[in-house]
Amino acid sequence: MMQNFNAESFKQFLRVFFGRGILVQISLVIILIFVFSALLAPILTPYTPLEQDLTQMFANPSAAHLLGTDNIGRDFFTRLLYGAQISLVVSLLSSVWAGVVGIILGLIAGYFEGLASSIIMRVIDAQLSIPSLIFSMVLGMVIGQSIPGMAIAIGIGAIPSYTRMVYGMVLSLKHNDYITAAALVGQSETKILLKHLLPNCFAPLIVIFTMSLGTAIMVEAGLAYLGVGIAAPTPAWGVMVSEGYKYLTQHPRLAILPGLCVMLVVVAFNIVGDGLRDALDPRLRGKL
Amino acid sequence: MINFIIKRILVSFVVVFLVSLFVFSIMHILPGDPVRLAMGFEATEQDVQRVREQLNLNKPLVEQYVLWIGGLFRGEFGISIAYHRTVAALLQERLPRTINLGIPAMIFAIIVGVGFGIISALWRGKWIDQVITLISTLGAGTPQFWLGIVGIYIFAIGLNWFPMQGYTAPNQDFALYLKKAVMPVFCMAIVMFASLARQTRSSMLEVINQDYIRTARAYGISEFSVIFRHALKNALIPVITIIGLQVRVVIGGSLLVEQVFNIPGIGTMLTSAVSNRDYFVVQSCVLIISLFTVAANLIVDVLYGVFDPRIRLARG
Repeated sequence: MMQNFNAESFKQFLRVFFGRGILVQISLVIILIFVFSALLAPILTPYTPLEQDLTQMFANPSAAHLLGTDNIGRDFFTRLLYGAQISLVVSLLSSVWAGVVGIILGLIAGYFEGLASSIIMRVIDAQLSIPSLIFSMVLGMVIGQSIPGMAIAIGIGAIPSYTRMVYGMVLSLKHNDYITAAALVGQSETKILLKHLLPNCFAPLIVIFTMSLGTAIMVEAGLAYLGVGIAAPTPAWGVMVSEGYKYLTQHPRLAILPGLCVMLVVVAFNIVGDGLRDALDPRLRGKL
Repeated sequence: MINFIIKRILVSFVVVFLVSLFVFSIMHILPGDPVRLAMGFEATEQDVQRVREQLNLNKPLVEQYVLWIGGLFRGEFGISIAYHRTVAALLQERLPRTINLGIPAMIFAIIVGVGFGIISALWRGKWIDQVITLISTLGAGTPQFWLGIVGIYIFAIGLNWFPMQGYTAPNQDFALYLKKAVMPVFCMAIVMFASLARQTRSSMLEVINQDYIRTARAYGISEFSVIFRHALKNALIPVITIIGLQVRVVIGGSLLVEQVFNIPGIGTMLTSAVSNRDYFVVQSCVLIISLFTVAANLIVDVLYGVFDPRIRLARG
């Protein structure tokens, strides 16, 4: 469907995508707010996320501090905005990097049968036997707990879903006549892979990419919460939940609001992913 | 069938072997000396050297690997530098706690998830379907640690129904175990529940629209029998795969849930081992966790073959 991309099919896509009900629209709005808060954080708030005001500890929400302040007087709204920035950066970096590596591995494993294929797919199986949270945590220990380090570690955890999808698509497509024809007229294998096989994976790839953005945010928050990811005082949402948990009885908002942000954004990415799947290619339903 | 099972077992061995290589190499990729890092810089060089020898770290790599694997078969998992105890003793103490919460979580997720999925499919488009779909959509995206904290705020601090945190063994005080287990079990189950409800719903809908279901109805077979004898059996096949895949998600979630509820299980041990750089604990824990998930998937695959002769014949 994406190959003969035209105005008609785009309209059809929009109709199905937005026809899925109000949830898709709300989710899109949430994602937009998320992205804008991340990009415009320095403009949207007069404070910085690390700036302490010890005269204003645990201040309640007011005009000066929209959502109040935390245990050392840092503006909570500011920290939430900068938290969005970290989530956005980590999820984009990790998903792009996972996508590139995962697609290449999937193309190779699917197109060239034999040893390379078995090795790649068994390594993917092995990785899938370790929960992705634990896998990224152990890798993070090796790579380091910086933002790029965590993005790499989380991204490696996301590679299998790309590889398996591309692998399956290539296996089912490579015996088609047009692939055989391309090989017969002497097109190189790289060209066949990139020009004829990869474009067929476009629709499911968009869906997986959307979903993996949500998953990455979830894993990042989990690791930060456990204290083995991005560490305090960086205002990652998971760090904020873990710090706020200590003051749950008196100041529940400190733990509950950042977690709510994680949930809203992850659910929004999942719903949009579902919507994209149905609108781009209904046959994918139940497979992704 | 036998061929199929043997083949699956061999593949599982390859997978476990690769995982063991992965966790083994991590210790050797790390910059610096893991023993020195774990024991701190106040430890004397002799002490460090002694521990190094004790752990066979002075031997060549291949020999180290063989010794490590050989030790695992004898139940020797190395020692924890942070806890000053053998990993085997730690596991013996902590594994039952994680299992006592993880297994009920999986059972809960399977029963409620599949049940909700069926209800959702049978009343497609009705309010109950919409409610269940909304719950499972939210469930799949809820951070488990956050759900736990919200639960503690509402049910422990606010309503005082359950204790805030902690764990009691079921054979010690069963009533207290139940009280403390309700929230952690629910949090561990939520992600698996969500994906099972979704998968059951969609495969049930697919099956209900098949010709043979229409034929069964046309023959005047009761609706109950059509659903539970004919439709459900086929609809559950893809659901079984999801159950196998979700085992790892429940185990991963146990890290977060144990941390929130302060449960001294495998999850909290692994988390603190990673922060303390207690490599031997990390190695053994990750390998054991992967053994669990590989075994679960093996069982699921074999069950799959039993339930569906088409798969058995195609793969055997």
